[in-house]
Amino acid sequence: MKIKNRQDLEKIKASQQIKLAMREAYKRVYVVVEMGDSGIKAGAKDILQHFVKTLNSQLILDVAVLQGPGTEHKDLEPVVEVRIGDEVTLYQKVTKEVVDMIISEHILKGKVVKAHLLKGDR
Amino acid sequence: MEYRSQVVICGDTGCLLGKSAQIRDEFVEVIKEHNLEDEVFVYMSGCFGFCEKGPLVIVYPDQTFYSQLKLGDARKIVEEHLLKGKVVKKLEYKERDPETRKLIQKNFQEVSFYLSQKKFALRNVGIIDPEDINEYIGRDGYFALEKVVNQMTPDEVIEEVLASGLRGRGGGGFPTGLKWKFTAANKGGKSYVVCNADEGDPGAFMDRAVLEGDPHSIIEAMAICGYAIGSDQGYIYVRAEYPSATAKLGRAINKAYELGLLGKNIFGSGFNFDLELRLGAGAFVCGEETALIGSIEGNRGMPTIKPPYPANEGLWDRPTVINNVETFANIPLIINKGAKWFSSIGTEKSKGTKVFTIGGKINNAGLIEVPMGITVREVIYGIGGGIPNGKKLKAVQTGGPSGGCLTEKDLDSPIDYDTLIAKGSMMGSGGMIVLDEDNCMVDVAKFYMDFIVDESCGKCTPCREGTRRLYELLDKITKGEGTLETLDELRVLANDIRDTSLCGLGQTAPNPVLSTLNNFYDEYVAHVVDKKCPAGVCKALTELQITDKCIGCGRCTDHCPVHAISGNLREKHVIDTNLCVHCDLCITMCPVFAIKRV
Repeated sequence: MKIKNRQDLEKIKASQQIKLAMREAYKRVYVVVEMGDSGIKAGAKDILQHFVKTLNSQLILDVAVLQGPGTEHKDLEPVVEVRIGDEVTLYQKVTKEVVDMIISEHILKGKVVKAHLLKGDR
Repeated sequence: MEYRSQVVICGDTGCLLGKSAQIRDEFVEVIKEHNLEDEVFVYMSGCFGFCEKGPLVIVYPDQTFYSQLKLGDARKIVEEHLLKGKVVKKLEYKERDPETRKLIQKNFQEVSFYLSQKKFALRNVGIIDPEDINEYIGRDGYFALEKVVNQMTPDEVIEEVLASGLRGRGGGGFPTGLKWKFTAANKGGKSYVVCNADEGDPGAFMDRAVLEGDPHSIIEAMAICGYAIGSDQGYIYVRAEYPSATAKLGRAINKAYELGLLGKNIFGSGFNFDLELRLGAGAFVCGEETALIGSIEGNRGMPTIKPPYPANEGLWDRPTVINNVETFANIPLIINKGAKWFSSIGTEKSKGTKVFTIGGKINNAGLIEVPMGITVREVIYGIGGGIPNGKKLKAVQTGGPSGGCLTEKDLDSPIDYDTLIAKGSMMGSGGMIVLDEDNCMVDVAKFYMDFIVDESCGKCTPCREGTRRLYELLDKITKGEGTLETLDELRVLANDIRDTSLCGLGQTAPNPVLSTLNNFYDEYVAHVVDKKCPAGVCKALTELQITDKCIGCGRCTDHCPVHAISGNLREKHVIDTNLCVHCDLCITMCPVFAIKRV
């Protein structure tokens, strides 16, 4: 395929956007999905994959999705930490629906999803 | 499945020597073993710059910076970090906190080596996969070429480059826009664009870093230059001693042809541009533009008299622009972001940034890019992390064998073209070699002269005969056979070579001698009058001595090839300096470091 005009370049650039954005140093939000044995057992891997997929499909690229080493709240897994600046919020028993809520409410609008806050947090 | 993580391995020669290619293979293998190949993307990039700590690996999006990896470490990183989310703290890069003196782990974006750097020419090096043109386009690659051929006239392009204040990064510092303007003024007929990638200064590898880490930026910039001066043919002159760079460049050029970014009718504008590689045999003199032209034409690489300048009569007697790799690497950025943005960085007369390679007696050796006007102190003590083992800085040699040295008193002066020339040195291509109190300046001058004697092309007498004579004089001094008259002779001859040589190589060849004579005259005097080498380097002027630390183990006696060391067991030994041949074997054998050169 030959590149004939600016649109062709734009098309290729767009196809690389997600991959290249991950390498940027600045991230507005950090999402840490806690792994550990109990986390993985409770489905933390799927939750992480769902975060990545949803964020990518909506082209929300200033969010880094990381793995965490696990927590002591074994019965409340999967636990997810959302960090915006210095503000750290912990969520418990996160499901795919909760992930969607965290993205649309917390990450995009800055509103904490109160119903799923980790016990004792705040 | 979408990639949730990326592992990038530094693919520059320094890291490759540390087996980074095998480490990459290991990553691929272990990732496959754990079925992560759909989740984790592994690739190899150009030079990260922090060569001292190689092999280096960054894990995105965590920005975890793993340093000094060995074979087998990849398994730990995959199984702990990528699988379980536990960063392998042991392998992570650590830095000593200046206040608490504690070692702390650093993420890639927090490493102090990178904090005061500004990446223009190296904007993609170490970030993209140089073999993937899509990643280059993803970072605005070839947008500048499209803009130029479809939205700007050639004169507008030249005006933009002129307004940016970009000066040649190969050493001389001639304004790039002016060079283009002079060449474009010769209208009609064939003209050429040449990229000078014949990097030859000892210890310099910035051009190689760009060629290997971001080859498409050079291809794009040369096509832009071709459009601006009305040329349809370009040559990249690169030394065959850079096999990896030439291979990557060749593949990049083929890819660009394949996508129609080189060749006929680029972006439907009617502009044609062809690009070819020309391999040099690695002669230092071919970095001189007229010699380089000779070499491309198929002749022996020998300089010719200027004028005529290449802008008027260059390659095959046609108007030719010759720019350095780093100069070209800045061009797409200037077109994309504008001359005004570019010229906002740097000093009044030196705009933008400069890439340096720092080496020698420095803690953080590597490749850096800093804004013009940064002080020498910031580079040496900030980015470079100072001198190892608490030694004192003696000099910083800039500009390679054509440059000179800066000393302690110049530490706070800004780095730009004009200041360095005023200090008796020059920007050169950007090699920076740090010397400490253990370096003998006469010996350093001798080293550079030895290099020049080898590399002189032999066309003109002052350079061919004069540099050899300079070397002989320096050799005499280091052997203790010099007198004060030798120093005068050295200075007179150096000035003569500078004034009468044909090309830049000869004219600048005596610089290391003159610069060390001016800054370290006392050290020369110590060599010729006191017959002493203060740094303890020149073997003929120093003696080996066994200090009171000696435990009388007898290892040195056993190993001395000329039986110059004697002494009873468990008593201090002595060296017979008349017999000693200065092989230094005893120094390496001594278990308690009791033998010193004084």
